[in-house]
Amino acid sequence: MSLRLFLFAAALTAAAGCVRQPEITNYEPGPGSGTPRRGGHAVFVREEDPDYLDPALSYGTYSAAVNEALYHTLLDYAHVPGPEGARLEPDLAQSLPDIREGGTLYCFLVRPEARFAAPLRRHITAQDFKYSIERLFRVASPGVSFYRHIVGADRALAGKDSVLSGVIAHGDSLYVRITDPDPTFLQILSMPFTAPVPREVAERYPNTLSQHTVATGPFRVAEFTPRRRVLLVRNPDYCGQPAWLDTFELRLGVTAANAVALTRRGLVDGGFYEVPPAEFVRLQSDSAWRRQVSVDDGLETDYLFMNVRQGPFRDRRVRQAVAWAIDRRALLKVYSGKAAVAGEFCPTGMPGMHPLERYLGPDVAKARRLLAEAGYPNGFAARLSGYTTEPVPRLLTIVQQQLADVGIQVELDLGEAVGYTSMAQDTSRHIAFGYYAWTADYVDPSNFFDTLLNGHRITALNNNDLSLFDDPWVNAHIERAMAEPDDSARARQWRAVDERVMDEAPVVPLVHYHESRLYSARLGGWYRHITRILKIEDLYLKEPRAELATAAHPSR
Amino acid sequence: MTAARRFAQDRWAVVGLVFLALLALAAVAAPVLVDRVLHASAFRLGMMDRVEVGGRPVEVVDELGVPVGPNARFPLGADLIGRDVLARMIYGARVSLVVSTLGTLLAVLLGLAVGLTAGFYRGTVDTILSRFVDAMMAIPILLLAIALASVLPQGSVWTVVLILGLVNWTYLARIIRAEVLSLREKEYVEAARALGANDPAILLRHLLPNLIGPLLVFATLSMAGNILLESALSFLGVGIQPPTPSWGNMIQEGMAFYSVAWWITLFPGLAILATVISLNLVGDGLRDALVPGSRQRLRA
Repeated sequence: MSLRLFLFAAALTAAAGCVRQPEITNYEPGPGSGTPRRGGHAVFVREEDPDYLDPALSYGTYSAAVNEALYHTLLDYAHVPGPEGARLEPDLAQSLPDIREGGTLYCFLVRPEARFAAPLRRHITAQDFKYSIERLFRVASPGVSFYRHIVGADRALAGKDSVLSGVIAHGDSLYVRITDPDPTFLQILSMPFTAPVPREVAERYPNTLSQHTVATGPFRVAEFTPRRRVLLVRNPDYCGQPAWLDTFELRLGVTAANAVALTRRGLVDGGFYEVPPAEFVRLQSDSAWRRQVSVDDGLETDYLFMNVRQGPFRDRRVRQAVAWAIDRRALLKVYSGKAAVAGEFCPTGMPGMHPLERYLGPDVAKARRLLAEAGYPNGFAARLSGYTTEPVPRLLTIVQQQLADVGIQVELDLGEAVGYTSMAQDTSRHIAFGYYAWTADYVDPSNFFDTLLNGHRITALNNNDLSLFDDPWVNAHIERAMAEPDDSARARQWRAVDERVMDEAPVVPLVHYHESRLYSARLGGWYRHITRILKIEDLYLKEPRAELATAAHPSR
Repeated sequence: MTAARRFAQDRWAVVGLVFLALLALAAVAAPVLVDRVLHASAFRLGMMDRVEVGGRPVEVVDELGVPVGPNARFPLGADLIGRDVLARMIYGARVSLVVSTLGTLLAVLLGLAVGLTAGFYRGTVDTILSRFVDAMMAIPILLLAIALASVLPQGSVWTVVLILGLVNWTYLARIIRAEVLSLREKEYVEAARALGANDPAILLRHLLPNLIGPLLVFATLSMAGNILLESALSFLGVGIQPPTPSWGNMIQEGMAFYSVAWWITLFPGLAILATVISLNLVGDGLRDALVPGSRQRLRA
């Protein structure tokens, strides 16, 4: 062999070695079923930086898992997949609260061993919780409206007071008083918004707390370099079940398509991104890798909203015609099948909810008849707002064509996804017709009906009732259902509200979207938690099969 | 030898011209060609339709969202929502040609006006206009185009025409200014002035006809650039909005699926490639035909 040929062969071999994929069969497929082992380093990726590493300010879906690993509060959800995960358990509180005064007073006792992480490492007191809840109102937290029922919140919201008279701290005892009974209030209190933040640090770094985090959960931040990485290490001061991993690294600036390639090459263990459609198709056709893809109901509804105070959409029959015109089965293909047809507004994965299967058309004749009855026999023209992130343009193009079939000529108005939500939530923009998607913050239908369709919650800015729907019957029944302590009775009431919403059709639910995530073969403990998306503290590195075999047959 | 004969002797330029002529014909006749010849639609969704592939019926778009590839019913395959790629390419040719032609025309008008004025009047007028042109040229074209797209009404063909015109005129203004600086010193201009011709008459009757050559060359080459820029804008989501097809937004729509449905991006990409090459060939041919000696100068 000549030297040149030898060098060429050597280069080829080296190149082949560089791209050789790790042996996926070395590990048990899926999330693993063995005993978790402690230790190790897992690498996740994500394209954008976390919105904040501040529990009061972070509200991004993809930032949530990291913040929830850092900031624990009084209660946490059970560490199990499925509906069982909706069960609340004490975390920084010693036990579930004592609820008094007809469900309006919640009494907590903070665990004596609850401590802030390094560098503070001091005991967490009830006063820290009080300060953190009051801070939500001072920093205009995106979650502040969840806490508007606390006594004194109306004055804080109006800027008349900076302390909440309904939150009382005494040593390790914390009392929270609300104006009316609310069976979902415990879930609201268990959102990371209420995680304690030490006053001495928050006041020293009022605008840069994300760079000076003091954790209360199973991990703490060892490094946060914007646009590069977030490195979490296990927090030895956490008083609950410690994390399995020693360290968890989140590399930033990695696109979803690259993330899939890196995971397949064994360089990355997972990520906070949606598996791109083409990659999803390819993974599904690979018998080994399809086991590493997790497709789960994310309790999400993708829907069209119609401003019931503008133009043709004032007429209920027009809104119903829109609902009848849509062929939702076609929309499922846009999501690569990772969705369910939405014949109801509240996701059917929500405990107590059932499919209503409304408007499962399309029924073009019925839609045309409704339009004619409403005085639009030749249809009308409208502008449909949305954003350019895939697959929304494709989805809305289908909707546009389907509406054209019944005579509604729609012009698409697609802008950047960044800023779309705040624009849609600004009532002065008068958006008549648009696309929106909502994922549950907590496991209760009130997060859909009260947050998105209660007319009493309409505000000029940050308004989530995008249809400006203000139906007295719906408002009253939402509030009645929220006060109902009996679970089955509440579920019945929510279904009645959903029926009424579908009849009035201020929104046209399209699909209930299912999330997809890809994990490496060596990573165990992953599951889609019903509210927490992914519990990083439950992740662990699996034993390779070879080591398991050696352990089982030591003589070999 | 006349310019037309010199052009006809350039085989590659003629090939380019024939291709462009056929493309223009297809674009003009798009409704007839698509509806009556291809018996297809560029807009109708066929997601739930069935089509025979390999002797068995399959849905045009399967459950995972992958459309059928090239087959008897869809010669260049279907797109992600079950529309005929060939039919959309033919309609896309309309958009690409109209947008690039009108955008070029607008750039020519602006460039001509500024270049003629600066070159003819010289002095302070020239200094002001030339510095303005320099400043405009210092801004990257794509950034300027995206900035304009964000402030103008989004998505319409006319907006894209306006953007293409506004970002491209500076090159022509420089070329025209240089030509006019030279032409205004010619004897025939002196003669016209001596005979009492005023400035507009000299500009329009004596200088403009002598600028036709460089103008045509610029226009053809600029059209090629405009097709690419329109495609880039549509690809970035700030150009032509769906459901209007343009080659750029067709590529953009198919990008997410390129590894499993390559036909959605490949064929519009080839169309852009072929059109841009043809325009460049025609532009080169025109330059050689209208500005004799330019090739020799380049070779030297």
